Amino acid sequence: MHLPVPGAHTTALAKRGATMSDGINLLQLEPGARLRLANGAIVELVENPRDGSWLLCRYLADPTDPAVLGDEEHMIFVRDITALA
Amino acid sequence: MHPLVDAENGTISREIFVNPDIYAEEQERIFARSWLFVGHESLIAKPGDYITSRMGEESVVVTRGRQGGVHVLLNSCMHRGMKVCRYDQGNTRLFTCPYHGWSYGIDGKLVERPGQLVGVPGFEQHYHGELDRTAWGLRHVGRIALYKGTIWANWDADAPDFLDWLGGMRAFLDFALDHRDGSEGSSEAIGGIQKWRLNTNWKIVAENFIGDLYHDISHRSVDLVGIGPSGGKGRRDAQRPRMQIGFPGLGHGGLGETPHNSEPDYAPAWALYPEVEAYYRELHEKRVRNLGDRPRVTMSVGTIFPNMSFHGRQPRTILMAHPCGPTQTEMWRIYLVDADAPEAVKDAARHYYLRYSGPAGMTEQDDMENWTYATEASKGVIARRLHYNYQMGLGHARPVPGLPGAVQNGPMAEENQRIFYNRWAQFMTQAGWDGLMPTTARALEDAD
Amino acid sequence: MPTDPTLAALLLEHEIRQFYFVEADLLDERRFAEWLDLLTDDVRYFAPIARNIRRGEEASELTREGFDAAWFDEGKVTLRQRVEQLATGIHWAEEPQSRTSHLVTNIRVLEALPEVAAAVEVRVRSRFLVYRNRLADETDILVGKRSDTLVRVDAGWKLARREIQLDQSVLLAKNLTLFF
Repeated sequence: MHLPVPGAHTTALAKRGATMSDGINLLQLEPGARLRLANGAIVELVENPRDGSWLLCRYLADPTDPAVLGDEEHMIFVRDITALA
Repeated sequence: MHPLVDAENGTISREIFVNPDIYAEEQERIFARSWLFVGHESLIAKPGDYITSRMGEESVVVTRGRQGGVHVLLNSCMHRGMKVCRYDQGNTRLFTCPYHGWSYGIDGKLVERPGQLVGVPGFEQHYHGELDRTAWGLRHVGRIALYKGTIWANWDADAPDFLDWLGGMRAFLDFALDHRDGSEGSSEAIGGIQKWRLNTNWKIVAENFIGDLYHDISHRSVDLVGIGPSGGKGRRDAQRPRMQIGFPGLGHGGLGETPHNSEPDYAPAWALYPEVEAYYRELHEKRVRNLGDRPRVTMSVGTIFPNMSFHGRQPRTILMAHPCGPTQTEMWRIYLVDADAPEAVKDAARHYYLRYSGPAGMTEQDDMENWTYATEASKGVIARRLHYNYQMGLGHARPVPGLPGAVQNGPMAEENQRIFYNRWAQFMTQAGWDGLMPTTARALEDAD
Repeated sequence: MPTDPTLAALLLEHEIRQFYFVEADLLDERRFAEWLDLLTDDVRYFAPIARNIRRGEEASELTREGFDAAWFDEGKVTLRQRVEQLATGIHWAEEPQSRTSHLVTNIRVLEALPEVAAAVEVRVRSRFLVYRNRLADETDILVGKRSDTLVRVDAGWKLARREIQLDQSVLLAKNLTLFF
């Protein structure tokens, strides 16, 4: 169950209550999959640890922080994913 | 010493085998600061491989990092305690808690130190970026030792070195872990760990394997049938005369030979399997060459304080008696073979081990019956007023030439049991390592 | 020999069920030497150890026959030794003897060779629930799956292969002095 978190209402994600990611089972994603994040960034799945919560991704585009682009792996949490890109 | 242990006179109160308060104290005083066997490197051969294991009642994850190092981590999320791994084995870069999603990395690409917290859901939004992630990694053990494939861990960072802990018992452990041709290490665990529960106190298991030839009578049924690898009666091939050899002050001991400098003549073994027999005959020649006139021992069974026991030859196996409550123990058996042995040799060994040991082991079954009902019959208020008797051979121990710190007491005695419970009493009454490892403490002072 | 395929399948299944029920009676009546006679001389009797593994890694869920540790991995020689040990009367783990009941259910004939109506070899899957009680309160309920190969001999069927999957990873019984 996902209950509203006090103080979290400033994020666009929390305002919607549910996210697109609620419909995605991370276990079904394979490396190479492209995903859109809540902040508008696009990432590519590098390795799926198959824990259902996190993905190891690299940033292809990020409107807020171009410094993250490149081959470095980043941990992406399932609820920060809004859609398959 | 300890009010319930009179090792000088060879009597020990039954309380220590059934009393929940004493059991709880053991977890703190013994298991939180002893070197404990947690696994074998061959079970986590590749980077990212892990097994879950136990240290006392604690669940731990034993992993091989991407850089090849072995790490032992408490299997409990630092946030709210959920087990971060509920699999027996696998391969991973991350351990993620299913409860709130905290995730810990074990691979150097993600973290500086394995077990570090790398994923915190809502780190920016809900923690406002203020959580000190470096402070909340999975709890590491205090010390790790790798010894000829075996993995040992100790919660206490101030614990003495593993080899000091082992002392002269090392020679007997070597016999189990070294190649049959005498070269160092190179044994491996065959896949699959037998795990089972038994209603007995963990010490009853440890004290049996520390060397109790006296209980041979309990195995008469299997001896009458004969399950040895050469056929006939009995349960193993003929072995060289063994005696109880123990290490006062360390708490270890076993049944074996005193050190000698030449290899005895080859004794035919594994006669039911000609290919295997030929292999061991050939290895004997190599052993003679490899060892030259260096000292060596043989052994059949032993215990390393507190709860790791091992068999060195027939069978060749490691047993952990994990405490699971004052009158319950979880037994883990791992079986060893030379890694480079031909399949036929490994196969014959495996079949023999499985009919000897484990819950279906025709020998081990009778041991477990005795341990279970000894425990049950020691629970009552009247029974608890009594003491077990460990008086055999009292006062007849003598030093072992060529093995400093060791005593032997002939083939049948309860010297090793007295040594074991003396050590137990030391741990239950003494606070610091200076008192528990006086030899090591002295050696350190000398070094200063 | 029935020509109706449904009838042939029913008759074969009936034969196999009777075989299992006779076998269970022999075990529960402690007629172990007679039970051995139901096994071929080259019988394989294998009980792998189950592991808790991640979904998708089922290949490593059970230990491998011929390579890994197991609860049982043996043939008739060892099984006969076990029966002989029980018969000594001084195998303390079974003295006094256990009371057991083998419940064998969900019996399915998966394959019959060369054909159902003239089968000489069958592959059969079943479930077992073995209740064991011993002394006062030593009680075990061991449940699992069996995959068998049975072969027809002159007098009836014999067991040529049995794989026993116990539905436990840590065995919650102190020993396996019983047969499945």
